[in-house]
Amino acid sequence: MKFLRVIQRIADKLEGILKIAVTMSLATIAIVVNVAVFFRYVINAPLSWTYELSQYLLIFTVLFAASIALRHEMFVKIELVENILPTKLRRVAGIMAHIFVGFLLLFCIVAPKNMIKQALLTHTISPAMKLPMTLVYRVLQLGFATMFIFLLFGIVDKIVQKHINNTREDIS
Amino acid sequence: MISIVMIVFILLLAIGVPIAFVLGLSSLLYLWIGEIPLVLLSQRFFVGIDSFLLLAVPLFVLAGKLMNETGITDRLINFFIILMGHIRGGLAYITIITSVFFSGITGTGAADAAAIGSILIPAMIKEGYKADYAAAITAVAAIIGPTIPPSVAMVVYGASAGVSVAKMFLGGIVPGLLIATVLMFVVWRSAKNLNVPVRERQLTLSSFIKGFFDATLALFMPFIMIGGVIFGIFTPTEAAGVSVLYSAIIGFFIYHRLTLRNLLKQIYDTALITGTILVIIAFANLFGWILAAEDIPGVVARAIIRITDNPFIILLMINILFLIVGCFMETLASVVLLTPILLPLAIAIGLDPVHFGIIMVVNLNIGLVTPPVGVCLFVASPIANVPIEKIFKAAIPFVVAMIGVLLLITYIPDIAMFIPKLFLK
Repeated sequence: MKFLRVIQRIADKLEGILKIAVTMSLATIAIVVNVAVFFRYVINAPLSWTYELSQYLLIFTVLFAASIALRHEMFVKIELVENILPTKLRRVAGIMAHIFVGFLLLFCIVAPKNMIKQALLTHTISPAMKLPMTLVYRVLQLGFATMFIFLLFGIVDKIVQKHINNTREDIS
Repeated sequence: MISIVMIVFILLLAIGVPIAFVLGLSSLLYLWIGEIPLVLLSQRFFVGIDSFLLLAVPLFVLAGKLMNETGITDRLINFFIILMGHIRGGLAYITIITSVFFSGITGTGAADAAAIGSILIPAMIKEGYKADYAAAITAVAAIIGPTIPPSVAMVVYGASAGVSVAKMFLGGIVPGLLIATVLMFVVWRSAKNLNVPVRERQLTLSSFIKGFFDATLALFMPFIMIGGVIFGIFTPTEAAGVSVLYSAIIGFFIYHRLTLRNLLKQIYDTALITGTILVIIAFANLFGWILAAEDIPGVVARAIIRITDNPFIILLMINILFLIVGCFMETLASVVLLTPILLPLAIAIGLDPVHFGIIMVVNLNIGLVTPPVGVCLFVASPIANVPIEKIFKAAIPFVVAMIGVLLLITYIPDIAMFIPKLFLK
């Protein structure tokens, strides 16, 4: 249990970093979109990089915010069948659901490998910001890896919580 | 092969795998069985969210949150209480009218129900309204939110169907106002029967002027945003960005209710919501590719046309399907899933994609107030302290009225298409 608590503390620290990152990323999107409007309509000198930057920041925000959401089980699911299952079966279904999501995320981490290889070979860069596309695809890969790690953190949270509940029951 | 994928899809949903990952896992299975390169998984995921249009989703959600945080909701409600509080059922009408104006800011039903309900449900109960009635009227009024622009569901439909979001926004105006009118009619019919109380205080000129000036900035916001899109000043995404700036300026410098800490918290909450919504859309992009590869839209269209080729009945069947799906699935997930399957059929029977989108959004949003997944019922229930079943029972006359409006929107295309045709050729 001590080991799991250490993992939980690491998870909290990492979540804190991601929290700042996604907040700053979304704030930058809001600023960049308004800067684009200002330059286009007020100064009449449209900027070419604003759309691209905000789109890439959106991908960054989605992947890392989704990681936090995954830890705290914030994704929409249908609980209709789950709710009518007996407690034991419900627990099994929950464990299976976590395993399946983890399985998918592992494939997602590997999947961009060829995109990166291709972008490296052809030296693909983004049209406006001249950003190497390998960087963008690596963020995609990193995002999936973070989601996988945070899925595991979510499982650790559950085990620790269950242990706390059991201890409480024993005491009472 | 697709039948195995669909069985796995349903099984995964049943064991409680989140919808986003159900889409991803089913697609992964298809790629594996079909020996299709895995790179397609990441390519379609990337393409699914690499969209300037989808930037509107977090920005509209953030604008709504900031507006709520700055006290815009309170001021709107206060103004309408001054204006109509003395009429029988006044607070019920106010809930609907505030929803219309608040819809012009937030674009999501659950947000509207939470923001408006937290103020008006306790106020209604205090005035002597039955708690289930107060909760029901708030839940059903929140449906106006995703119909009147801006609407997150319309942005998602626009991105899925490749349809102009500006046209969708304009197409939602009349249906949204029609729903509001019909709901007010039901309130008027039921107010006397249910002995809904009347307030003593009458409207005075001075209180009207004070309330109006207090709420001016809130009242103008929908006009700035919709006007901006109609006259081509902003794209929908830019309108969303400007609305964030507008609400932040109001919050910081005019109402002095917004702090930096608060602003950052709202941005963070919005990021989390964005993450959960857009991962669904990203995986749905891959799933949509599979449906297209297997010609599922064609199969569905042919199967339906084999039963009947009467557009009237086909539209009725589509509406019934949407109503059933809306009861069980979250709105945005349903939009991304059903659009690629049913849009080709709708076009084949002569429906404009914008009109079809409006039907879909209005219809699926009725699911916000129908069990078992009626989000607005879940939001209103703890505020009113009434079980969901009781709220739904009280909401039945309103739901029936809304289905009536839905049929009008379906069979009289000009209700939705009049304004888009007028402003955007």
